Amino acid sequence: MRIALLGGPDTGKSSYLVALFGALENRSADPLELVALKDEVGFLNRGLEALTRQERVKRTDMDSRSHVAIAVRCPSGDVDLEIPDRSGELVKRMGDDRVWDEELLSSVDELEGALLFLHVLRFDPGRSAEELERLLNTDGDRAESASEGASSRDDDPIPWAPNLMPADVRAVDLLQAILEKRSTALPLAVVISAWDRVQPPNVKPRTWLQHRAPLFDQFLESNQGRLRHALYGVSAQGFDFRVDDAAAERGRPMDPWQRMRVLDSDGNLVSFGAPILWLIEEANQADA
Amino acid sequence: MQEAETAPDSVEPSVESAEEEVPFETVDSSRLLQAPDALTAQEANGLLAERPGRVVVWAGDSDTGKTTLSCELYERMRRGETALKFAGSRTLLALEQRSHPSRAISGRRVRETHRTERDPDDRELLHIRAQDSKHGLLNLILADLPGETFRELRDHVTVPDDVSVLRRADKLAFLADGARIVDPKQRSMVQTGIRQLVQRLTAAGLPDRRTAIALVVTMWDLVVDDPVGSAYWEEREDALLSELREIDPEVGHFRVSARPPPDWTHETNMESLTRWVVAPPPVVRDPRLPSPRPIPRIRQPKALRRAS
Repeated sequence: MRIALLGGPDTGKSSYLVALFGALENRSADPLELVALKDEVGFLNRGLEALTRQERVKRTDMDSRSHVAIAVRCPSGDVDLEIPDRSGELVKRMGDDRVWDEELLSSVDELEGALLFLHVLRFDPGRSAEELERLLNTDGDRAESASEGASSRDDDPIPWAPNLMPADVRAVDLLQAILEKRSTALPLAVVISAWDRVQPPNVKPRTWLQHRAPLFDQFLESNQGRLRHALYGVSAQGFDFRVDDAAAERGRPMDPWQRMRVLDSDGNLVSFGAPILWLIEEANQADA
Repeated sequence: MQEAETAPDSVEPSVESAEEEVPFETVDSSRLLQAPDALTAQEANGLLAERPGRVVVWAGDSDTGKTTLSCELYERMRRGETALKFAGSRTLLALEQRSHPSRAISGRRVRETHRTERDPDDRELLHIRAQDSKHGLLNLILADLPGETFRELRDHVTVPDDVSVLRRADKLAFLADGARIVDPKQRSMVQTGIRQLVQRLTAAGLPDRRTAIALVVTMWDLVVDDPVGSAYWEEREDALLSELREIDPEVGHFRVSARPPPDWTHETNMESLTRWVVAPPPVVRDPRLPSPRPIPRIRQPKALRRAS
């Protein structure tokens, strides 16, 4: 079963793969179990070591041809998973240059599922010009700028380019392009990563998407037929490694695979393998 | 030639290396992603053949807010401010490009819209696939015509048949520019401009009786703040609406503030306008008229003809 990882740079794709591998190796991704390795996993182990050291998994820690090929057991049987860890930079460049990545294009019709990553912090919602004005101005400044009228315009505006599109529009753009090239529906697990840093802390993934990425949320809901989807909030690290909090550290599980968290769209804690399991079940249904 | 062959150490780039620097030229078109282009009439017809829709024409001179209305229909979906749901767009990048000057990332502190220029390839139609709770999935085709098109119609330099989308329009909105209404040196031409457009269209047998029409006053926030302009307009607006009712008894009337100031406390009326856009156009308005002809396709525009 071939699954695509989609998302821009630093959206948590590699971290999820590494954390999933750690959870599988340590039987913490119930009901998913690791049955066999189909390729080398040195890059996954290096990533897991980084998580153990409480360091971010950087793609530079991993091979340029990072690729997960494993066999897993799930309630419906054994499945061979093939998940290329495509560089977020490649996906970004594809959107910016408006030319398909050749490898993704050649595999797009054979994909049996995709994981699309958004990051709670690296998410530009595309604010209006006045919102910037409000953020920058004090009350006194605002009165002044209102009296200036048109002269409050920036003299050197930034010309439009695809790389300036908001994050949710970029996601819609990518999915539209994929659907255009596919003849069948695509099961899509949407992963909102760094969920431990979401604000407010108790928000549900579904509510976050509706409020922070309305266009993307509407696109998913309106295209249920061709884009069956599930939504997850994922914390692969479990907490922010940059915050040095000795008291909090004492209360945390020692092993990375015990710190990881996955919430479903309604905010319920689920297995770390839940997004992959959902994709496997969707593929099985499609086959049936 | 002889010198070039005997000068291998020349620092001048070879022809081959110069060609290698422009790989974009060699990209197979099937590998290209959507460009920031609007649609041609033929492409829009293809979409309308797949799924029902509404062809919307905003009619008005330059800077009356035609592109802003289209952008704000899209932006209100993007911000989750409308009941209409976004389901996709064949012109997503074109909408993004047009919306960019209204965003903080453009470096501006006030929302702007670039003036629409005439497109050399007649790519003048924006597209949004929208999910409406009452009418289902719809293809919205929004004409993004330059203001000069309507100025030339008013000036009788071109004829309505040269603007083929007018004959296919399901919705035709005449725009009254609020910025001109509050300007004593321009306000007289607002009513005149709309009357001229209506006259040019009716003389050519337009609008089609399937076309719903509306009077849309844009930048209403400016008019509200100007008692003189407001009083001036009220009287003329009533007269214009009476005249438009003779063409469409159900004429729509909207005073909109698509991009109101931050302290604006009134309704923007953009949701009402959105409801008008997605509502089905009238099938037959007058039972005495013959039954409707097949819906015409949007013709590919020819080179503009000079009116005799």
